[in-house]
Amino acid sequence: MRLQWGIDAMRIIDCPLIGPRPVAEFNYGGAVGEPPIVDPTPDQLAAQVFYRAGAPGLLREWWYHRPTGRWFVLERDTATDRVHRIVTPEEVAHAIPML
Amino acid sequence: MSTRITEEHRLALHQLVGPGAAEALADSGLPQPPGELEALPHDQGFVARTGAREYLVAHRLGWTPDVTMPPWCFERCDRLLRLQGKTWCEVMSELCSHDMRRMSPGDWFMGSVGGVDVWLYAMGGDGDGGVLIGCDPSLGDYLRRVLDAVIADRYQRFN
Amino acid sequence: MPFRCSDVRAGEWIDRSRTLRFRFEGRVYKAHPGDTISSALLANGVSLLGRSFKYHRPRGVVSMANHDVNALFATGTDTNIRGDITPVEDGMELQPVNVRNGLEKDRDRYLDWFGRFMPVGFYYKAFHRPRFLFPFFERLIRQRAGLGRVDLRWPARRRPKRYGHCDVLVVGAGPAGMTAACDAARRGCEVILVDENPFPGGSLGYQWSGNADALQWRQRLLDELEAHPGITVMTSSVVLGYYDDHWLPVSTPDGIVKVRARGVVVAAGLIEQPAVFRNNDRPGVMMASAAQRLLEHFGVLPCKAAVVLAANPEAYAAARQLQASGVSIRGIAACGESGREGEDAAALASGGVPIWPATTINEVHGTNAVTGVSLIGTGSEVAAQERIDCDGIIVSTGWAPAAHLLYQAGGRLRYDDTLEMQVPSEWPDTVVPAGRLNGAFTLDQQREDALEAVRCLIAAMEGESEHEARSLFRDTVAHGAAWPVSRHPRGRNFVDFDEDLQLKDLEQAAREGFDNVELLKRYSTVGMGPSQGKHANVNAIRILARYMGQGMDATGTTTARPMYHPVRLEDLAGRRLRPTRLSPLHDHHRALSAEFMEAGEWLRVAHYSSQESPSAAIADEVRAVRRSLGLIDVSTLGKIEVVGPDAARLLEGSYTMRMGNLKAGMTRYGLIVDESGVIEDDGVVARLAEDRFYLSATSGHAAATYRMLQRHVLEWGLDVHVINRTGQLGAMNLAGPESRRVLERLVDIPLDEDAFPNLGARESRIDDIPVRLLRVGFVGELAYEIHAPVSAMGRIWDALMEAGASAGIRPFGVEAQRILRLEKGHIIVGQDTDGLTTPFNAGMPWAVHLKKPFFRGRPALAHLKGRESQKLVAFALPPDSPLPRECHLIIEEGDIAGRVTSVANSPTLGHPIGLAMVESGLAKREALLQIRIDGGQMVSARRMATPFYDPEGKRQVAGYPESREESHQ
Repeated sequence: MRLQWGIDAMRIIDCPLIGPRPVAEFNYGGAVGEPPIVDPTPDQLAAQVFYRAGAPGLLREWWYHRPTGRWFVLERDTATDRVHRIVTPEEVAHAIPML
Repeated sequence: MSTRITEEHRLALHQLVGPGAAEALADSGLPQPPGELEALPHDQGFVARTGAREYLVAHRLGWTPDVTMPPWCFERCDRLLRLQGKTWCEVMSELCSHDMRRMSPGDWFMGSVGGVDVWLYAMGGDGDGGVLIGCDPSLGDYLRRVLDAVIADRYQRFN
Repeated sequence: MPFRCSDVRAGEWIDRSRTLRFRFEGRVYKAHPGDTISSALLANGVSLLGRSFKYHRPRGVVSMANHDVNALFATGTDTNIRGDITPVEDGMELQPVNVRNGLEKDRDRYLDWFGRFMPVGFYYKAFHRPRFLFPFFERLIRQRAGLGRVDLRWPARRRPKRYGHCDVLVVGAGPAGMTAACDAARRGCEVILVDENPFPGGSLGYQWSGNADALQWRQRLLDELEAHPGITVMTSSVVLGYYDDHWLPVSTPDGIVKVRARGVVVAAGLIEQPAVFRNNDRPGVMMASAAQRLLEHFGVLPCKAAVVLAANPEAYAAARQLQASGVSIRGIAACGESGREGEDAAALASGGVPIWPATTINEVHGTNAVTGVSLIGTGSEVAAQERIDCDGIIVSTGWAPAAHLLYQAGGRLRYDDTLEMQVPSEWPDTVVPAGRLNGAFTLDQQREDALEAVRCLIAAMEGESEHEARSLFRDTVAHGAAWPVSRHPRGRNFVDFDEDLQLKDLEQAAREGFDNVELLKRYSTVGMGPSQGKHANVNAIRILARYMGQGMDATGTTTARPMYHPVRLEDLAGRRLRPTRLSPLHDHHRALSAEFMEAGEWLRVAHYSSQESPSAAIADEVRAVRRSLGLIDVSTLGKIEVVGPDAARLLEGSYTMRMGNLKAGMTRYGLIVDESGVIEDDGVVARLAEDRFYLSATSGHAAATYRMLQRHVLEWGLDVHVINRTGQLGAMNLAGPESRRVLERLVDIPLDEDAFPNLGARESRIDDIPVRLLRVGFVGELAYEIHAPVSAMGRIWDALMEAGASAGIRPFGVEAQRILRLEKGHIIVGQDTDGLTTPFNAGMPWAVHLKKPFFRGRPALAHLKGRESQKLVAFALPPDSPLPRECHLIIEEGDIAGRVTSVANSPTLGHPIGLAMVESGLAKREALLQIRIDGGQMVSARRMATPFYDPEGKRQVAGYPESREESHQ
């Protein structure tokens, strides 16, 4: 896989159903986090809320396609900026505790 | 005929959402597109499937299903603009990055035109090709103005 | 025109049957349609075209290929017009740029004599001592620096952009480019072929005259281009840069086309490079390809008698070409061996042209034009030869690939010692080099290389990517000199013509420690002029490499960035696309003489105009709401339906307070925070049924809140539908003590306090229109918010205005609403809160229900409770006090202790009131707030409790006896 040093602004993202679309049609929703710890220690809280791993690698991320109003989860290689696969919502879903 | 924009006032729109949506359509004799982001015509308009259990129903006589909740039915007041004429693709090429030459009659597309989220339904039929454009009511005036400006500028440049 | 060749050239660009007239510096000249400014002036014998940036040295034609930055012109309506490529128009009035008192007698030409005081980087070292003189020098330099002058009265123009699509984009319509385009089209691809010249042909159009094969091949290619429907040719068009996934903006005479391709062939050819010798910048010294372009495109003889500096076969071909057209070749100095044994050289020699081996130029003579040249041996021992008279120096000592696009796509170059120039060494599979850019020089090599490029490209586009090195068709002889640099004790041997940098400047910079190519560039400014190093970078790298004693590849290169050529701002601006959102009642407001304001994308009514000043009109609107009845359009509010079995769960997890226990038919204020506990949005949540909720959100955050809810549905695996109806429904708020009496007449449900209590929500009808009614307390009076489809809003507004006329109903705008809510101490998210404000800072701990085991932001809020370092407090000022403004600072003991977030004169209370975010210590202490207002003046504000007005909220249930109040959870 060749390293791309291209200019980033016009990337195409290819998602199921909507097909290849320019990145400008999307909102970036950040990396998929671990299911939140309900009663974290201050250190765990800080890590959960603020820390992000910056090393290159495969990252699962939330991407929102505005014209169709759909969320996608994509697995992207942050070194090559290439999307490896589409992640199904089931893979990232976690139930929340209720009263 | 030359490329032009007209307002489409004849279609009433509803958004149908939730379990039983497909059945409600079937009960009314309306088509149910098999896949998401597809549309099917019927003799009073069309039905577009915008989600797994979500439909946009366009009907000249205004249609609502029996109220069962689910499915839930919401009135839609989208601004509807019809763009037709020989150079409609070129007009769109100033405002939309999608290659409009790939739109065939019956195609449904949701994208961005002039910075505004829209849906496009290629109605075809009367030989002039073209598309029906739907957008949020609050952005209708802006979209109409931009399309008018593009058509007028192109007329000046190429006539 | 004395220098116009009488023989019509095959394929020339001018129309000799018509004549144009233009003026330059007031003198009239003739030209033909198709001439550029430079070609027309040269045809008329004018070779002094401009003066250089720093030293104001006389300059002329160098490349005729859009790199001649010293030949810039101005008209009455434009400036920095490039003479080498801009067509002459009839009646054009041209002036030079960067001169005072005309080109010949430029008053700044003496700067050349002061050159020794302006070495590289001199401006970093001079002019700042004595300090008091610096403003004087600054003014002086600002006037001297720069090129053309802009007239601010010129009309601003915009040229619309458009999108383009193709399978293969071919950059450059020379032999390789045309071959590639035709081949790709034959294989079924949709092709766009782009060339910056007005006609396709490239080097086939000027380098191969006299070669019958070449001319025939050119014609065949042109015919095929024209005939094939799948090829779109864009001439006078420049590919500005390469961006991700084959997105390339192309600047055409008609505006920018943003092309998305699936593959790119970069056949952009080569940029001829100058040689460095004393006075190599004189008018009359030009590249061989410039001379050929002048001759073949415009029928212009570059000079009458020329000396050629040669280091490649092209030099001799050019010399023969010029000789055949009537230029006298006085001699050829071969500073490189290549080409000296060739056919062209032999023909010239047998015709009596002297060819001096191992010889280069020592110095050019003449000031405003070349009058002669002195040569010198390239070996160390030979003395300077006699001077040779001539009026032109034709330089052909090397090339550099125009590989910028390839570089931007991730490609890289390496120096090839055989060819003596850079060649592509790696590139992405779908952005491929072809032709001379890839080191193919003969016609056969260029054709075969182009066909091979297309074969590899299409294979890659179809997914069979196997990267191939593709050096098969590169030439095996040198096409330039390894060291085309000639030292001279008196210098003036230029490396960069844009920036007036000489050999010694670059060596001096390296000596001062700027010995890395990036540092050298930035310190000396080499390559930073308008031609962006197209004719300077390669020689600069050679010079640095030799100084450092290392190879070309080891020395490296700087980064080539878009745009390839300068682009006009009117082209980048394109059409103004600035979406504005209008309320369904927009025309109603215009009819009522509303003053509008921008609120994000929306246009909202600030206030309605009247005879009085805006602040008086706003105060009247406030009073009308408090005393009788007001009506405000709040259609910009976010409106979201949440329906389905898990509706309550979604809201419990998304809001800070409990939502699951909200009764059907009631509303509750809702607050949303992010994961760090910071307030993101607020609104009103109404429950219509067990599985149906209707939420409002702030206008500015509606779309983001909708997205967040949708995401939570997926994240938490919920069975619920979220529908954004922000633009589909309108809303208006009928507020004031008369509101119930007026609304009663229009709706079909009872409005007494028992039937429809405070904070309640009901579905009803006005006429046949289904409406939702919410009793919300934002402005602190009895009020009903009416939500209905946008198609019905006009009718409802009219009905209310009519029904409320007798009660004195008055429409009010955003400014009045802001005062009304301030009087109740209600916050506005984004105004009274910022990127760090939690509900605890905002004085809303009651909104945070930590008993819930989970909601977004709960862990952070649990941690932050009680630790707030700032709190929102309320203050008041005496009636006659000067008014602070939002963001004025609170000062405590000389330090900043907070800031004002909201402030206004309250018509209801008769004095200024406001909210401020202040340090917790100060907040606790109940001390006066010292606010620093405009001009540094301090005012003292006394602390208040909120609400300022009607603290018990009685006004919101007024009108009927025995009313009951709904309490907060």
